[in-house]
Formats: sequence, structure tokens, C-alpha cells
Amino acid sequence: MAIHTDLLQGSLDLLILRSLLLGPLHGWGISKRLHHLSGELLEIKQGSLYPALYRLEQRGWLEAEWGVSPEGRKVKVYSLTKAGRKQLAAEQEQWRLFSGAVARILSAT
Amino acid sequence: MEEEMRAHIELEAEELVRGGVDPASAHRQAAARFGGVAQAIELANDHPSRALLRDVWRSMRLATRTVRRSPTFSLITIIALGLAIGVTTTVFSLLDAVLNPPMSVPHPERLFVVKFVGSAPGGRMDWTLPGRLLDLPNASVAAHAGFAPDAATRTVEVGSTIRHASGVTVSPGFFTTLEVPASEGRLVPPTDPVDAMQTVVINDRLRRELFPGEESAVSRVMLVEGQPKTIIGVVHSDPTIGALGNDLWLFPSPGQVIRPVFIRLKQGVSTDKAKRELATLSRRVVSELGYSSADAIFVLSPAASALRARGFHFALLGAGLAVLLIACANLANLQLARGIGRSGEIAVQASLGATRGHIVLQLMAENGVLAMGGMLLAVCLTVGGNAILRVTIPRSLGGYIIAPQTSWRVVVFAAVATLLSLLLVGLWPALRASRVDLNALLKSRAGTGAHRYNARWYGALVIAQIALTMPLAVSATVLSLTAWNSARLETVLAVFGYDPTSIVAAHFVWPRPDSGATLAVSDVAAIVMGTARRVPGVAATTIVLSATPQHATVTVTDAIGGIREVPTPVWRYRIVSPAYFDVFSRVMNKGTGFEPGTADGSVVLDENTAHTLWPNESPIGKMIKMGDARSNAPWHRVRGVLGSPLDPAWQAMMREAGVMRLTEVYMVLTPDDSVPIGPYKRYEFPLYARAPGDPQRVASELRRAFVASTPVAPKVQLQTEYLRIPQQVETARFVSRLFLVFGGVALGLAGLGVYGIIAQSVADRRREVAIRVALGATSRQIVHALLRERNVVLLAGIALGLPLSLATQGAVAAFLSLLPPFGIWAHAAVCVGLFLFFAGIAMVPAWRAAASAPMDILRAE
Repeated sequence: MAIHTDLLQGSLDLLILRSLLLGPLHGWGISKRLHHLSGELLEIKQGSLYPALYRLEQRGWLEAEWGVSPEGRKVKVYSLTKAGRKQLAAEQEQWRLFSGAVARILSAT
Repeated sequence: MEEEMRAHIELEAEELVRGGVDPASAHRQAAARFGGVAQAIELANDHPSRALLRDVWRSMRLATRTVRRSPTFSLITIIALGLAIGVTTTVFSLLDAVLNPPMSVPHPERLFVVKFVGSAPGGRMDWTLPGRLLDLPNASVAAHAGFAPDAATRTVEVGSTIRHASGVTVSPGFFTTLEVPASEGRLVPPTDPVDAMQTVVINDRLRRELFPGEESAVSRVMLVEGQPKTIIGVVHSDPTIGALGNDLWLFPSPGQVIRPVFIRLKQGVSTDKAKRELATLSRRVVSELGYSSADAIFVLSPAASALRARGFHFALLGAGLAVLLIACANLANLQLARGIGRSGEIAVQASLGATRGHIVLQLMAENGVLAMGGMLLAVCLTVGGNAILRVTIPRSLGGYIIAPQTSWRVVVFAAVATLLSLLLVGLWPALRASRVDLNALLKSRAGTGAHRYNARWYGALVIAQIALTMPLAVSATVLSLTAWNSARLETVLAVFGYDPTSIVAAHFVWPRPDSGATLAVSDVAAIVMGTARRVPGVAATTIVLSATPQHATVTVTDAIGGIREVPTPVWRYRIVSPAYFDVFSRVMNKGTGFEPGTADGSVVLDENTAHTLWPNESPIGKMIKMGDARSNAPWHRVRGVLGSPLDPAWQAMMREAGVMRLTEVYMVLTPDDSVPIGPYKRYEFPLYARAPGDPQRVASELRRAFVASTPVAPKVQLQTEYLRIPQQVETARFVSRLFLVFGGVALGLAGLGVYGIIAQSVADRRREVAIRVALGATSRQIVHALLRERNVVLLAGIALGLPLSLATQGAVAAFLSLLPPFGIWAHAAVCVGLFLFFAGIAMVPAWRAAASAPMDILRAE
């Protein structure tokens, strides 16, 4: 079963930032990395990915430069900025609190 | 971003190929998996401010396409809006030139008017002091200059040319302080005051009038009030700066003190610093000369003096705004009609999900494009209009010169006017049109097709347009008639009461006699008139003095021998020479006028006075006393009654209203008339001469004769009365031309608007017309049915416009001295004319509808 990020409102930014912690990557690579890291459960809709990348870049959390992919394609490579790392830490903490709260609710008897 | 997404799809497709999918379907699958690239780009760009910008940009693009799709409508709108904004902005630039005159001197911000407020101990002020103080070494004042309080109209002569020119005495450094450049010669007089007072600087207008076609006026000699002066330079005058607006500038005689009026601050000196330094100078006066500290102050104010706008200017601006409002009402109506016509299209947009805001934005964008076009045209028209105004404007309009020009204020005004028009023209029709009611839309296709609600709006718009057109049309008509009338001699006679074209008026000033001496006015008059009579070309001369009755009362005898007192507040009778009626060509109605040598104390009065004093009785032979019954004033016998140039019916109305009770009473100066002259008084009176041949020449000769032959060399100011006429005629013509433009534009716009409204209204009732025709109605009956309500609307517009028109007349009339009273008939004629004009326009669409075949209409439906 594939989970669409639509179901995880507000989590896409966190996922993108986390995927880039492992190293700079282009858009297609990010979607593949997220798919792979989620155990092939998460399928990012491309229509959401690029607006999100653009938004994160505008906010200064990502920086991008044009480069060449291993396949020899001209691609835009994104990497985390210092502000992006701080934001990732803050969002991870938020997510930890949120998911813990949800888990407690669901496990309540 | 698009490139990035394309790369994504390519990478996805390549991976699919590596997984065994054939290349063609791999690409298709990758693209399908990705979804819409354009949609993703749009989503990425979807910032709220960006979204608004995108909406506006889209609306503008769509608006441009819509505007281009209906070129005739767009062109009419742009021309109408451009004309209206252009006219209003041109008028504003005229007003702007009056209120914020452009200054011709360099660095006007450093030029100040300085006033020395102070009184010396003991009351004897040394007026050389302020100048000496400003001459002291200081860091603020670069130069100072002033002018004497002797600005007046002076008679100038060169050869046989005589002109009246405004002149003033200025300090030698006047032009260098103002830094005005000379257009010919130099502007600094010789350093020796005796030589300096023999020189004069003139302005370029006077130079053109006195030396037309000559290469240079420098070193030429002209007579100023009979005194020879050598022209040293020519300068361009500027009415915005005191004393620089004159025609000629004289220099002071030796010993004449000219107080500083202008100071020019040194470069980089702030006003505050200059004020502080001048305050220090003031303190020096206080400590050294014993002034009280509150008494000695230098006061600085900017040199540019705004001229006063008059009611006339506001009438012009009002006229311009009325044209703008007419255009707006007109265009709002066209937009509304078009909006109603496009209701189907708007309904489709609404059903496809466009919000009301989107529709309004779209319609406003269309209007915005049209308004921008209108503004561009308006700016071009304003620049052109100002150029035309500058050449057609009379040299002196109401006593001062104005030169309209396009300034930033004018551009801002044009932008604001455009924005206002956009809101007036666009917003309301857009809101109306955006309110799509499908039910109403469907209903409108049924029945007669007449929209009752729309009809009400059409009616209101027609009324507004006609009401706003009325004052302009009436003003234009009456002013044109006035301008045409004012050039006619009969009008001049009615205004002046006599033919002024052959009258020379000499303002004769007799110097004060030695202290204690009594001056016999009759002796002075005898000398003056004897001299004048000897001048060739003089047909008759008279002096004109006036006096008030004792205790502001006259006493008269009545038919049964009784006496009656008549109060005469603020009224004066005239003491003249026997030839007075010959000079002014006045005709006697009853009795006789004065004869040469008349000295019997008899009086002549006009018909109005006769009616007031002796209603229903013959005044001839009655006695009148210039004082109350107990006064010792002598009795005078009435010997004749003068005809009046004024309308008798109007005079009777004024008499009844108590406004015009006593008017003209004349008696002859007798040798007994003496006037004691005090030590500080001089005696002055006007002398009039009739010179039918060449009044200018006679005026010049009169001066020479007076200067040469009177023992005391009196000062004489000459004025040929007729010189005043062309200026008034010129002003009347200029104003009438302006109002003709307003009236023409307004009438054209309103005509167009009324046509559009009626045409739309008739179009709404096409089905009704077709059914009526099919049922056998004649064309006449159809037209009658269509226009029955219109006549009421037209009359309502005229009724509403009448008070507006009367109010405008007041403002315009106050400015034009030659304007005859506006008769109710003039208004009535214009009202009838307007009604016929609009009714004629309304007939056209109605006749066209009546003439069309009913089957065609019903098929088209």
C-alpha cells in the first residue's frame, strides 16, 4: 500500500528537509529517496513536491544550483542551509510531540 | 521550474526503460505519473500577493483583448474620456498658474521679501536705516533692492505713439538683486543719481508697441509723463513678483530713499540662519538707537506671491468638471448598456465558477485600459490646450497676466481625474453588471422586453447629463452674444452712457497753495479749460466735480408751493462746465441744457431723478436745494431734463426697489465756488475733452499745453477713455471662446449620451415595437409610444439644470464688466433650443425602430 503525502498534511516539508540531511539531491532524487526510505510506502505527488521545494528555497531553508545528474541530465540540485538544519530540528521535535500525542490517544483504553 | 520538471519526467522515463518498459510508453507513463506541469508551476507560484498580481495581469490581458474586439465602442470611450479629462486638466492648469505662478527669476527660493517693522524714538524714522543695516558685513544677505510706493499708470510717448503703461521707481540694484536677465541692453543705471533718473528700463511688450520692427530700443528716448527718459534696457516682466510685473521701471531722483523690499540670500544660507542674523542686526538697532525691542524687527517672507483666484476661475473649473461629469455619466451609461448586453457572457463566466469579485475585477480592468487611453489623450490635449491658451489668453486677464503650463501638479490632477472617472464610470456599472440574475435574464426575453428597472436608470442618467449641460450651454450662448455685443458701439454707449471713443480724460492735480491761501476752484478751472480750448482738435471741454448735499438731504418745492425734504444718503451731485452735455453728447428730453456763460444757479437733472423727486409732475421750473429745509444752501431752478441711456423699465424697477432714487443732477461751476486748501492737501479734478479726430494726439498735445502754459506746472495724468474698451472686449471674447469650447464639448457628449441611452432603451423594446407594428400601429404612433416618457425626462433635466445655470451666470457675470443683465428670455431661448436638440436626437433611434420590418425584429429575437 502506498501512502500519499496528502494524508500527512504539513509533513512534506519535514520529509524533504530530512531527506536532504543525507546529502544534496535533485527533485526526482528526493522523491525516490523518500519512497525508498519509507520502505516504498510513501509516494510523493510531483505536483506537491516542486511547489514545496520552491517554497522552502524561498524561505531560505534550502539552496539550489544547477548541476548534472549521474545520468548526465541537467538538474537542479537542492541542499540544506544552516537555517534549514535548524528548521529540521524544530520540525522533528514538533513531529515527535505530535506523533506521541496521537499514539497515546490511539492506545487509550 | 518547467525545465526542472521536464528533467524529472525524463529521469522517471529512463528508470522505467531500465525496468523493461518500451521507451514510447515509458515517457507516457512518467508524464502521467507526474501530472500537469503547468498546474504544478501554478501551485508553486501561488503566493497570495503573486496570485493577485496574476489575476490582475490576466484581467488586463483579457481586458485588452475585449477592448480590441469592439474598436468603435473603445474609441468613442477613449475620445470622450480624453476630451473631458483634457478640458478639465487644461482649466486646472489655468487655475494652477494663478495660484502657483511659475517664477521667472533664477533661484526663487533664495529670494525673500523683507520688511522692517519699527518706529524710531520720537516718531522720526530714518528710512535709510534698514538699507544701511543690510549693507553691513553679514553672512546671509547677498543683495537687497526695493521700489518706491509710486506704482501707477503712466502715459508714455514716442513720436506720435502714445500708450499707457504701468510704471514704478526701483532702486538701482533692483534687477541685479532679482538676477533678471536683460533681453536687450543693460539693467543697471549710471552710478550718478542725476544721470540714473534720466534713464528707464521697459518690458518687451512695451518695446514691441513703441518700437515695432526696430532692431533695438536701447538709447532711444521716450517721454514718461512728459519727461524725457533714455531707454537703457529691455526685460521680460513677471507678474508673480511685486514690481517686476510692470511695463517700465524708473530710477530714483537724488536723495530719494528707496526702502529695501527684496533680499537675495547667499547660496547655501538657510532661511533660519538668515532670520537669526537679521535678528542680530535688529538688536544692534535696539541697543544703538534706542528702539524698543518689540519695535525693530526684520520680517522675511518668500518673494513669490500667489495671485488670488476669483469666482471666475472657479466657474471655469466648475465648467471643466461639469464636462468631466457629463462624460462620466455618459460613459457609465454606455458601460451599463454594454454590461446589460453582455449579461449572457457574464452569466456563463459566473456559472463556470468566476466569483463576483473576479467579474468586477475583469470589468474594471477593461475600464482601466480605456481610462489609461483616455488619460494619454488627455495629457496630449492638455499640453496642446495650454499652448493654445498661452497664445490666445488676453495680455491682462482681470488685472494680471497668467501663463498656464504643464506642471507636476497638472499631471497629478489628470491622474486623479482619471481615477475618479474610472471609479465613476467603471465601478457602479461593473457592480450592476456583475449581479447576474438568471431568472431576470430569462424573463427579459419574454413579454415586451422593456426593463422597467433599466428604464429608470436610463432616465436618471439623461436627466443628469442635460442638467449638467445646461449651465455650460447657457453660459456659452450668453457669453458669445455678450462678446459679439460688446464690440458694438451701441453696447459701449449703453455701458458708459456716452461715446467714450472720442473722450480724453485728464486727471489734473493742482499743487497745494501756500499755507492759509484759499484757492478758487473756478479760477483753476478757467485756466485749465482756457488752455485746453486752445489745443487744436478739442471740440469741447468740461470739468467734473462732485459734492454731497448738506446733511445728506435735498429739499424741493412741489406743485402747491409747499416744500419737501428727500434724504439722499451716499449720493453726490455734479458741478460741471456749461459744455458738459456737448462733451458727452447728452440730449435733453425737456427744457434746455446749459448755455455758454450760464451762471444763474439753474440745474439739469435726469429723468430718473425727476421721477423720484416729482412723480407725475413736470420738473421744469421747480426749485431744489442741496441741503435740508433749514440749511443756508441756495435754491436752484430746474431748467432741463436729460434723456438716459439706461432702459426706462429697468430704471423704474430700481426706483421701486429703492435702489436707484437720485441719479444725475448737474449745476454749473460759479465764481463763488472756492475751496479752502489745508497745508497737506492738493486739489485734483478730472477734465474731459471731446476730440473726435485723433484723441491720442490731442491727449499728448493737451499735456504739453498744460505744462507750458499753466503758471504752476500741474501734474497731469491723461487717459484716453477708449483705450479701456478693447481690453474688456478682448476679455469677453476670450471667456466666451472658452465657454464655447466647454459648451460644444458638453453638448456633443450629452448628445451622444442621450442618443446612446434612447437607442438602448428602444432596443430593449424591439419586441413591443414589432408587435405594435404587426397589429397595425403607424410609424407616428410607434414614435409617440417610444418617446412619450422621454419628453418628461428631457424637461426634468432642463428644470434641474436651470438653477445650476443661474448660479453659474452669477460667477461669470461678476468677472465681466461688459456683461448685460441675463434676461430670463435668454435662458428660456436656450432651454427651448436644448429641448429641441435633445428631442431631435431622441427621434432618430425611435424613427429607425418604427421603420424596421416587424418580421425581421421577431426573427432576430
